[in-house]
Amino acid sequence: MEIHAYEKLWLALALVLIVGFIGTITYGAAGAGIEMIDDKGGTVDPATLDDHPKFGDPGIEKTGENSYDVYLVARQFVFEPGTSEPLRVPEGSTVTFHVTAADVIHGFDVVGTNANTMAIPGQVAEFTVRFEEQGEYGIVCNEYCGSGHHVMEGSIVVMEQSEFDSWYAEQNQEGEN
Amino acid sequence: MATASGNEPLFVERFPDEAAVARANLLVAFVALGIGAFFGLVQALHRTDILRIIDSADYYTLLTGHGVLLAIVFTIFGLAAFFHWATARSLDQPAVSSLFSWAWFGLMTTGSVLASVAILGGLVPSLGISADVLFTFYAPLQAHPIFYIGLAMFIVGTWLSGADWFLSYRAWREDNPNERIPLQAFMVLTTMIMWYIATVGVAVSVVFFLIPWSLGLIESVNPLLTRTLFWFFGHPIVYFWLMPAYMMWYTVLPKLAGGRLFSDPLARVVFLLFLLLSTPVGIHHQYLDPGIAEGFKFIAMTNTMFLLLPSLLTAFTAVASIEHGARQRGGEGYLSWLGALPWRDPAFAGMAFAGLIFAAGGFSGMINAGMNINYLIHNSLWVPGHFHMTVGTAVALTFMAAAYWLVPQLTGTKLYSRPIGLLQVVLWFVGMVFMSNAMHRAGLAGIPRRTAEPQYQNFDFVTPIGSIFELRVQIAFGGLLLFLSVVLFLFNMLLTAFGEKSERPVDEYLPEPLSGPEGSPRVLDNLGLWTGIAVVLVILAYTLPIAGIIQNGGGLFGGGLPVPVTVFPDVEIVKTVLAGAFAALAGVLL
Amino acid sequence: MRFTKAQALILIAFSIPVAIELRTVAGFFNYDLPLIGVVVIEFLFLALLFVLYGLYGEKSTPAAQ
Repeated sequence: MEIHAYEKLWLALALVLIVGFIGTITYGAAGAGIEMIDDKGGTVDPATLDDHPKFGDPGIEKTGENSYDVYLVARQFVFEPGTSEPLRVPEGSTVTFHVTAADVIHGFDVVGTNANTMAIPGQVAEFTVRFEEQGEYGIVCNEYCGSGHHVMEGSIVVMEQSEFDSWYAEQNQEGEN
Repeated sequence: MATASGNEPLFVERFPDEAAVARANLLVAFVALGIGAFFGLVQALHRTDILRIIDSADYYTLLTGHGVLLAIVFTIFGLAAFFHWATARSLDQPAVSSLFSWAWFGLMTTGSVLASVAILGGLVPSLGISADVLFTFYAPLQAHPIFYIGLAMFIVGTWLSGADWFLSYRAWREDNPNERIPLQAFMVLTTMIMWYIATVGVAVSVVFFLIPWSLGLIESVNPLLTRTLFWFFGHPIVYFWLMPAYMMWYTVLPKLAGGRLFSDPLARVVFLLFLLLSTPVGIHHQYLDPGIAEGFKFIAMTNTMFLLLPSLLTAFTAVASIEHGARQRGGEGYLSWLGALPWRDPAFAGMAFAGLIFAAGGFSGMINAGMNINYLIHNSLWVPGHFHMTVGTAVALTFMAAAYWLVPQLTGTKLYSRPIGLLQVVLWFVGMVFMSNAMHRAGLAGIPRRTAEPQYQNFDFVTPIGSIFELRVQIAFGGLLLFLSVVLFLFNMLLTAFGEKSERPVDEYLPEPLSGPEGSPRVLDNLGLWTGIAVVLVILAYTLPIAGIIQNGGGLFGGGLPVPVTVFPDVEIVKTVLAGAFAALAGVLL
Repeated sequence: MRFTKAQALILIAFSIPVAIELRTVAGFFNYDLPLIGVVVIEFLFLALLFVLYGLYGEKSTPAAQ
């Protein structure tokens, strides 16, 4: 079968482009260690979410020197925490998010960043974010979830460490009372 | 060479029944186009806060209508019309039974009407029928059962339409045991095989889960499973939209440009690559889904990247064939041959614009396909920006442009106005440039897709160049131009259909390619072999993810207790990547 | 070769994406091109096209060529 010389060249360049794309992404995943959402977050029963030891009372908890776990539930049309009160995290911390949905599929996107995941009932999305600087970020639901989808938003406040610590201590005290 | 056609009677005279079926399909497609485009205009003005005539809660009803009517009804009825024409034309024989043709057309139409009633019912709350679930109908969002039932009927109708074309092929084969399959028929058959494989996913999802669940026969569904089954079908549907456009680019565009297709065998290779690689890629829509191991996403990405190959080859062939045409018309020089092209002809200009926009859409698609950069734009307005360039222009504009050439053959009447046709395709191009450019930028600024409101309480979107307000105006203005373009198109078609009969309304002769199928290996025409390989690739790409979703995610119907089972994909990745690469290379080298 | 109306229309169409992306191109060179600048450039292009069409267009008299 006859293939024109220019077409052979084009074909070769196309293959180089394709292999190049795959190569950079493989390098990103294996070499640079870019983390992606996968199945490591495990599963959870959406019907009994309120009785779950973590998702029953979602929020932030300290797990180490500078590291925290956040358990976050998306439901029509709020993030818990995030919507009625902001999610507070200290600056310079490493936060591992565990995100799930209580009713339908939602999205969880920290606006303008690549902290972005789907929240699917029964599944837990686990990913880690470093918050370097103080400031406020928006959270937006980016998957259509019903007639109030456009009001589903929240915020993350990155606080100074000492300020966060006193807020966190107060929270835990309230929890014990 | 185009004059060689002289005495051949018109398609509508040779195949009156097939022309009638094709006309009926186009009629449904164009009605859906008109309604869907109107919804699109309302949305473009609403979400940019320029003009609001509906409640924000109703936005999603219109959005569902826009998606279903344009991405499913318009495209697939358009495909059915083109394929029905192409099968009869290239095999040079009528369908086996025109009653059967009308049966599948009737089933597809009934299904579309049922689904549309369910969707539009959402605007009349007292009816108690609604289907505000968007084009993707992710459970546990639930639609009225008639939405799912209509969808199932529609899919079965498309299966029967494929059977119609396969029966034609079988009849032709009996009379022509040693001939190569004519190119257009080859394209129709490979596309339909891909469709049969792909629709297994949505059929299982709708028939076994969504219909029983919406009727209350089962309690719950496993949301990740139905979502995965949707995308099993949801990506190959993209190629189901594109393949009829590609068929036009390969077989009609070179002729319109004044020349002929470069290579018949390479066109076959391209369609075979799409058959092999269209389905085992759906998980690339789920890069951000929890519950699917990274390895499976990587397999989908690798296959997706190899899927660039047939499109890149098509880009070469399309440009080369156009250049050949221009030089036949006396064009010279490195670039000035562009001026020799028949820009006056809306069928040519429309397809050329569609191809150009498709190149841009292809590049934004490469960003989507990259597993890691995808995180930046997933579910942002970037994504609709992308697919308005691909399905919204490469497919839709090619269909409209092709209609300027094809409809006169089906009706026997002259096109009402070529200048209005040219203005229409130019308006579409300009409108789409405005709208999709702004959508891509807005997506980079973090603005989500599928939302009725332009602004949130807690934060502002920022864009590095210009302002968010400018982007909103750009989207609304582009949407307005696109709607005007559709109005012009539909009027032109209507007046053409009711125009005066003409002896030769259009030159319908298609010249033979420069290099024909004779020199190519016969294995290209071995449809059974390629179907087998395609099925194996799908099994490799999907068995383990689906098994994992069912085992980890609480069973087939969700809600059950999770059973912790970890599936290690490592070995399978290597196998599938190799198999995918091998298949791609084998297709190219043969 | 004569300059046809269709060719002029196509050139106008092709100028739109170029104009829209002018600010991005300027951005690469760290220059902040204002929106009005884009409008002026596009307008100048259209004016040039009109002049050329007047001189070499399909309706122009042979003497003008």
